Amino acid sequence: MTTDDLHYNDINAQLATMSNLRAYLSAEEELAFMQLLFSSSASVLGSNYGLRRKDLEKLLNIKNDDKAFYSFIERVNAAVHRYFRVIYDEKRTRVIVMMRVSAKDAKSTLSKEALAILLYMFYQQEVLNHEYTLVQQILTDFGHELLNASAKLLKNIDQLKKIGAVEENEISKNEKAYSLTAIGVHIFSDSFLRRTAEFAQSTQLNKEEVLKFFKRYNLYIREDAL
Amino acid sequence: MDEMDTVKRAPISIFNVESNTAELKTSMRDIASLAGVLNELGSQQIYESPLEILRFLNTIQLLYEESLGLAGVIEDTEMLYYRYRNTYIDDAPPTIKQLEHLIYILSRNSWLTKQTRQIKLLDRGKRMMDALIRLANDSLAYYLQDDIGRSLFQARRDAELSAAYDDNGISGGNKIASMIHNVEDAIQKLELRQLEFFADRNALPQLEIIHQLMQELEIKMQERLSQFRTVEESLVMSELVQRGTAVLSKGTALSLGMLTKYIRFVTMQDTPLSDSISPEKIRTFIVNMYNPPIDSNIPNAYDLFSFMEQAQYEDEELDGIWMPIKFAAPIGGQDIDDAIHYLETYEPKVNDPIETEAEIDFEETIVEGESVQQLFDDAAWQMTKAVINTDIIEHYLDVHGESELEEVMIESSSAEWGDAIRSLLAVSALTSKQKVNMKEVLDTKQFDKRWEWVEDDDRRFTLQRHKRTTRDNE
Repeated sequence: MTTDDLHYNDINAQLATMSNLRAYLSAEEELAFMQLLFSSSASVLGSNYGLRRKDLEKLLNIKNDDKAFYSFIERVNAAVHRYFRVIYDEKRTRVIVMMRVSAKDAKSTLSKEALAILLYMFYQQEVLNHEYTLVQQILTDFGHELLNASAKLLKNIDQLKKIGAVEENEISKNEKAYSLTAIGVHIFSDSFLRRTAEFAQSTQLNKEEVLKFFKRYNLYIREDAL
Repeated sequence: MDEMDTVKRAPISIFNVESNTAELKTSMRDIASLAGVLNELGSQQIYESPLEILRFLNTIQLLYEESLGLAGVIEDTEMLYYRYRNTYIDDAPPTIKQLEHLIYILSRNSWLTKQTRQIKLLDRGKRMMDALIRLANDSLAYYLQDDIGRSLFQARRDAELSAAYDDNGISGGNKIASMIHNVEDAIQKLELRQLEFFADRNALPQLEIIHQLMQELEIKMQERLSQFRTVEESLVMSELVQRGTAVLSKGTALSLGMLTKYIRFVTMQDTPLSDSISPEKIRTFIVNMYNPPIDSNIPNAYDLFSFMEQAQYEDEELDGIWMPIKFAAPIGGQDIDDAIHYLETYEPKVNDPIETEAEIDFEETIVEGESVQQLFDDAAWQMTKAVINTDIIEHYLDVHGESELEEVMIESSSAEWGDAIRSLLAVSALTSKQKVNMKEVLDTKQFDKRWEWVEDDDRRFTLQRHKRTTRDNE
């Protein structure tokens, strides 16, 4: 369902960049990164992706040292940013590794409907700063007049839940709502957001403007500065 | 009314004339003649070099043109040979000998006559030539299309043939059904290759061609279908009309949707870079891309990925999406050992038929054994009873209920010692068969008898009829 069927060549290229890691990381940190890669994968349960910050800190021999912690993440990202991205989910205090999937292979990851739903939540929560998105609201906006609309919607949200992109939010007994996790926030590539915005506006757009609109500029600047 | 009649009349078809007519036989013979000629041409050698067929067609074309008055009379094979060399650019024209052979075959199959001063194509030859040229040109036009185009091309031809034949009262076969089938085929291919087209930077001309074909087809097909709509046709026909209309509207919607999405993408490249983003437009777009109608110009998420594959912006095709990674968990040595052990000692969990049968046999044996035992027991008892008369004691106990041993022995028969021996034997037989119960008691009554117990205590028992079933019922 996800990245299992990447091309052999892609994987080779990705493994080649791994050798650059030595220039950026100490042996201890390398080991921690490897551990991170494995732990990101070991479980199929949505919320258990990655390592807890505490465990990672133990591996790195640091404690509550924000500077050392973020430095590690930034250095790993600087080394492998074309293929991997280490993200920190503050809400769940977990560190997760995400991998870039090419446009061609992206079609085999999530259904097109699931992607649209995620984009909708992304827009609401990242751009409009809503805390969560109500299922009722998605249903109202996304064709409640379709056959089996509600079942189809929940099936697609389930896909997102499975990869840990969204989590159910307990707001009240009667209403179901979802909020994006750190994974969900990072799923869309900058290029995808740019194309989406361009199609929406029917005009070419400046990439930086698009990223600013989607509140991605922090990320963008940080990557560039390194 | 007259017009209606002409349309209603069933078109001429070989499938619904009487099979004994001379006309049908002759027309079938035409095909046999064609087969005869083709048989000569269809050898392995010619199949390997298909241009030989073209040379054959070229040659008859010369005779055909002559028969139409477009070219001068062909007197003999030599003249045919030179005319061939003058007409066609051919590196290896047929030799005179080959042409002579060809003329021989054709005249044997009655396609032409060879007279002293003229080689003349006969009517059969003309009709066959017509058919062959049409077949070859059809094939050529078909192979000039790409695979989606082919189905659409076939569909359009079906429509044209249907018009050319059906309207003139000659059946063109199941052309309408064939046309609809071809369109369905094309749509299926189009759907499968939709994303492929979007990923191709140069797909626009082809998409335009496909859409154009689809539009032309729609007009043609509507024409054909409306013809049938006016006539009260069979159920099959009205079903076909329905199917055809549905397929066509889907096909044109699909090709239109693909084209407009693509054009939207292409024209976007020509717009100036803009800085302003309208949130409302973004929102509407996201909502629309969830389930855009087939003919809209709104791409869904997959379409967007396909457009990104064109890599108009740097690194765009690489930058598809980010996914949380998944690696296989490492496998330890112990796990492998365990797995090997498991595989080596694995026993499939299936119901062994032999075992099951054995079980059934076993149960059956028990049942049988019981009944056999029963039978034996019964027989043994009957034999015992034949020797020892137990009836008297049984009867006595039935009447009196629980009684003392001595009382039973004496009351049931007599106080004589001979009777006492007989009674005792009967009692022992009964107890051994568990027909009576013996219970020890302390006090017993004295009876008048002509014999004595060796051990006086032996008489301290009571007897009772063993009535398990009755007691159970109580």
